[in-house]
Amino acid sequence: MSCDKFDKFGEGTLTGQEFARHVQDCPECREQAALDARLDREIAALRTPPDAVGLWKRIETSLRYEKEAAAAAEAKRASRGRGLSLRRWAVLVPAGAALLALAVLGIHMFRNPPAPSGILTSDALARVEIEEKEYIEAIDVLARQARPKMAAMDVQMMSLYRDKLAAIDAQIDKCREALDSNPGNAHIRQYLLAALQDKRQALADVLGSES
Amino acid sequence: MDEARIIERCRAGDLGAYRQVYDRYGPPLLRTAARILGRPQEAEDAVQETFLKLFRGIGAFRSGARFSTYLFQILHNTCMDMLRKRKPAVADVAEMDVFGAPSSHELAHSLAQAVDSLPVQMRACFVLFAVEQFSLEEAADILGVSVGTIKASVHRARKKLRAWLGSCPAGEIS
Repeated sequence: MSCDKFDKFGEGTLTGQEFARHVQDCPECREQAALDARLDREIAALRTPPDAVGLWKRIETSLRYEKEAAAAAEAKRASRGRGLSLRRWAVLVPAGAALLALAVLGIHMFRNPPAPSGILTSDALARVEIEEKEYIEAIDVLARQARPKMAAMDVQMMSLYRDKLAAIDAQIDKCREALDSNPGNAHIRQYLLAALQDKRQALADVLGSES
Repeated sequence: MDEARIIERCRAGDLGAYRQVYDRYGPPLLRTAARILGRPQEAEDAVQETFLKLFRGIGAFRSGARFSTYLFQILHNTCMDMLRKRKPAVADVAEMDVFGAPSSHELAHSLAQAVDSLPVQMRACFVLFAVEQFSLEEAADILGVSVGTIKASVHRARKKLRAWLGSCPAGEIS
């Protein structure tokens, strides 16, 4: 194409009036204008409604799943909040109990020789730690088995499970951090157990799902 | 129901409101995704992912902003992510320029195919402005580029498509 007036008109450097005058004497630009009009007609055909049977159902299912997951996470956060307020009680109640126990212990020691209660606590803690370790190892095996299954999932499902597992792992890490400074805290142990059970269930869901 | 009310209900997690968003925007979202990705199945995945991201991020949507622009921004980013994740060999085929090779016109049997063969950024500009009829400013907002870029890209796209159309006798394209 040797005439550049149509391009200039398209770029806006030539006004409509100037182009209209020019096109009367330029067959090249007339042809371009005709093609442009034809292109507009063809573009209209691209606006036909696409065929997407069942797409809303898919979207609705994934939104419902997301909503349930968000509600579950919210409930967990709320219970953790309750756990935090319980911590205040966890300080006050043992303090009161300790005073009462001191009084009882005074009477008891007077009548009987002292019981090795500290050893019993250490034993229980050791048992819990051993079982926790075994449980975590079993979950790690499950996670290794679930990995190829997750990789084969569609992007949507994979990201759902990945986000869910990441949230649970964050919860587990927080519990472990808290247990480092307070290993005997039964409440935190309970939270850790709940998080581990969630992870086991999520991994079982991955292994049980159709890829 | 007006859009502000629908958005409010979406924020509250009402799936019925998302259905209304789908009824209103589903077809143009799907068409745009199909043109950007060039594959209908992936376009459906992109629209599904868009709704999921909308559900997660609706709280961050500013009420003064245009909802359709926001929705198409999510879709465009989703499509770009999907294109990036594609295997190189497959992406090469999708990006094949049917305008360049002498015998390649045979590959483009329809205008849709010719559009699919435009370079991805040019294609996105063209689809949003010329097909879905967003304004230059809205298309620029969606794609995160200047109005000048949209203008130039649409102009170049139309030029290529006119050339392609000129080589197809009237009535021959499907």
